[in-house]
Amino acid sequence: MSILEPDHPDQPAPMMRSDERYYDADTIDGTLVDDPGARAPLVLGGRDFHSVTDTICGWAENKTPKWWPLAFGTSAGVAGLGTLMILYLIITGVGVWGLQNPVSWGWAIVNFVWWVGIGHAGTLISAILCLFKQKWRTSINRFAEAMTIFAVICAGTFPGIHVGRVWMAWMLFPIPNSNAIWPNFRSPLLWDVFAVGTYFTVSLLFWYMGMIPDIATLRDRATLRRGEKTTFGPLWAPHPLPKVIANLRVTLPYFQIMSVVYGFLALGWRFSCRHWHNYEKAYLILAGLATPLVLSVHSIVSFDFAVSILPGWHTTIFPPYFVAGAIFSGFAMVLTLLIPARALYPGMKDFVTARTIENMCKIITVTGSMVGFAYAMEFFIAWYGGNPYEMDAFIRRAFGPYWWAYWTMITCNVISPQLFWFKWCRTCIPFIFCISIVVNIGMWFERFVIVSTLSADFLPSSWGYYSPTLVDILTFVGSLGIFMTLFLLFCRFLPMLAISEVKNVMPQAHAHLHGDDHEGEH
Amino acid sequence: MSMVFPKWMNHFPTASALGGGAAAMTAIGVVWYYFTPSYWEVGYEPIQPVEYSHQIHVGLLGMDCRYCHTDVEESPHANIPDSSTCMNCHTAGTKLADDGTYEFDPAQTFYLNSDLIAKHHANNPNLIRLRNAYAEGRPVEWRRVHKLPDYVMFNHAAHINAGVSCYSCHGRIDQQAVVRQEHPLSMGWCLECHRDPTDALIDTNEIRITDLGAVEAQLMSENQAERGRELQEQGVIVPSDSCGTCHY
Repeated sequence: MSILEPDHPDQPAPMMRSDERYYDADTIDGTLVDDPGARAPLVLGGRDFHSVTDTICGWAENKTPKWWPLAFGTSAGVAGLGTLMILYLIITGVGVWGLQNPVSWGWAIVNFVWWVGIGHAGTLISAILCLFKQKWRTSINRFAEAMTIFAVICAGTFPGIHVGRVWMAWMLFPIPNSNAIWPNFRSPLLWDVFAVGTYFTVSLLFWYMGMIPDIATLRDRATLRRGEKTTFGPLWAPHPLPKVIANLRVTLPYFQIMSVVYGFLALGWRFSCRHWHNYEKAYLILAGLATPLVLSVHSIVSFDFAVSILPGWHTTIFPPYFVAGAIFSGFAMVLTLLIPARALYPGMKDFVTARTIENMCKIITVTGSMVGFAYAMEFFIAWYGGNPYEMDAFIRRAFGPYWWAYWTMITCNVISPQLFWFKWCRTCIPFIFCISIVVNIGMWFERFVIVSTLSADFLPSSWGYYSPTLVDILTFVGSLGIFMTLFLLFCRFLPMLAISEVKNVMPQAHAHLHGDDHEGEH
Repeated sequence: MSMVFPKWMNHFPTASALGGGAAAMTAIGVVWYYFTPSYWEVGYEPIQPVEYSHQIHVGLLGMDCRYCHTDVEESPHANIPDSSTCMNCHTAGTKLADDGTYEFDPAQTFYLNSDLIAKHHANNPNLIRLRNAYAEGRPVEWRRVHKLPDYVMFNHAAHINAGVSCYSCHGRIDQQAVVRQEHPLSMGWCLECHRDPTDALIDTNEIRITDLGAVEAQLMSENQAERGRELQEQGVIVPSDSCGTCHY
C-alpha cells in the first residue's frame, strides 16, 4: 500500500501537504484500508509538529467562530430554563414531577443513569484504550474526557435535586451529625454516592492532568501575544454603529489575561524532562486507577435496581449489561459531539480520521450487540426461571402499557447498531451522526423501560401509569443545555485535542524506528 | 520567554496546600462546634410574659411538678397550666371588682400572715398580669422553651412511667428562676439514652420522680450504673431506636 507507507523505511514521512497521496475516493480520506498489513496514518495533511500545535491552539486562540455565540446562547438559554425548573422544584417540592406511587422513581433516575452511562466513554477511551496502546485514541481522548466530566455533572444533579429538601443533600454522605444518623450502608444508593464521586474525582484529575502540558503551550503562546488588544462586543451590527451600541464594545488585553489564566492552570509546567517523566508516570497510574472504575461505576448504578427484590430488576445480568450499555451510549455521545466539531473546526479532520470514527462505530456494534444479547437473556431467564411474576414483568414490558417505550428501545439499541456491519453505514459520516443520536435515544428509553416496571407492583389495586409533567421534561432538556454550555466553553477555551499525545503518534516522533516497530495502530 | 508570574509564586502550591488544609480543618471545626443544637439550643432562656419562678415555687415552697403539669403521667404532653391553676393560690387577697377585673383586697388576706406578702400581691406587675388574664378567661401566653420539630413525637407519660425523671431532660428546674434549656434535645442526644438508658432510670418507690434534688443525687451516685441495669431488667425497659418510635 504505497499510499500509506513511505517508500523507504528510513525516509521520514512527508512534511508537505500532498492530498493526492492520501486521498482515495473509495475510503474518504485514505485511512479506511482493509489490508491488515498496512497501517493507516493517524494524522493526515502532511502535518509537522508546528502545524499540529498551531491548528489545535488556534481553535482556542483565533477569533470566535460565527456559529459559536449562537450555539452558546441557545445552550445557555436552555440551561437557564432547566435551572429555573430546578428552582421551581426546590421552592415547590418534588410534587411538580410526575412521581407518585407506585412509580416513585421517575425521570430523575432515568436521567441520572443515562448521564452516568454517557460519562463512561471518556474513561474507556482515555484509560482502557491507553493501556491497550490503541493509538487512534489520542485524537479523541481529551474530547471524550471533557464530555465525561460534564455528563457526570449533569448526572449528579438529578439525585441531588430528587432528595426534595436539597439543603439536606449533604446527608447523602456519611458525615457525623447531631442526629446520630448515618446513610444506610447496605443501600446501593450510598454505594452510588461513593462510586460516582470516585469516578468524577479520578476523571477530573485525569482530564486536568493530561491537559497541563497543552495548557502550558497555550500559556506560552498567549504570553508572546500579550501586547495585542482584542475587541469584544456587538461587532456584527451594521457600520457605523449607533453610539449606544458602539459603547458596548470593550477592548481588552485578551492574551494578557489568558496568559495569567492559562499560566495559573498550567501549574508552572516548563516542559522539562523531569516534568515529562513524572507526567508519564502519573498518567499511567491514573489510567490504571480509572480502568476498574469503568467497570465498577455502572455495575454499582445497576445495583440500585438489581439489589432490590422486584421482578424485572432482581437479575444478576444487570451489572455487565449496564456497563456494556454505558459504553454503548458513551461512544454514541462522543460521536454526536465529535462529528459536528470535526466539520466546524478547520483542520480537525486531519486528526479525527474516518478510520477513528469507523473504529468507534465498531465499538458501538460490539457493545450494542451485548446489550441486545442481555435483552434477549432477560426474557429467556424470565421464562426459564419459571417465576410467574418475573415472566409477567417482562411480558408487560413488551406488550403492556409501555410497549411503545420497549419497542423504541429495541429499535434504537438492538437494530440500529447492527447497521454498522455494512461498510457504507460506518463510513458515511451524516449517517453515523444520525445513528449516534438514535442510540442515545434508545439508551434513554432503556432506563425508562426499567424504571416503568414499577408501575405494576405487588398490589394490583395500586397499579398505575406514570406520565412525566412539563417540569420533568424541561428539567431533562435543561440538563442537555447545561451539558452543551459546558462543552462549548471547553471547545472555546481549552485544547480540544491532546497536542503532545497526537505528536507522539506521528511518524516524525519515531522517524528512526519507522518500518520495524510492530505496535498496532489499528 | 518572559515570566507570567513572579518568582514567589513558586511557593503558591505549597502555601495553598497548607492554607487549604488549614481552612478545611477550620471549617470542619467550626461546623462541628457551632452547627449543633448543643451550641444553638442549650441555654435558651426566653423572657416570659409573667416572671414565674420555678425556684420559688418548686425549690423554696416544695410544690410538686404535677400540681401544674397535671397530665404528665397520662398524656404525651406535659400540659402548661392555664391562669386558673395559678389563681388556686393567688386569688388570696383579691376581689372581683364591679368592672369585672380582680383587684387587691386587703380584707381577703386574713390567712396571709405577713404584710410583705400582702404588699407583694398588691403591686406585683406579674400578678396584675395574671389577674387580668384570669379575668379575661385566657391563659398566660407562655413562651415555649423546649421545642422539638413537628415530626418528632415525644411522649412524657411513657418516659415518666418508665422511671425517667423530669431531671434527665430538664435539669434542675427547681433551681431556675427563669426556665432555660439544659440539654441539646438533638436526635443524637435522645438516641444516646435510648441505646443505654441505665444512666437515667430511678426507682420510683424509693424516690419521688419529681424530687429533682434526690433524683440528681441518685443519678450522680456511684451505684447508678448497677442500679439502672437492675431497674432495666426488672421493668424490662427496652427503649426502641427505630425511626417509627418518634417519627410517626
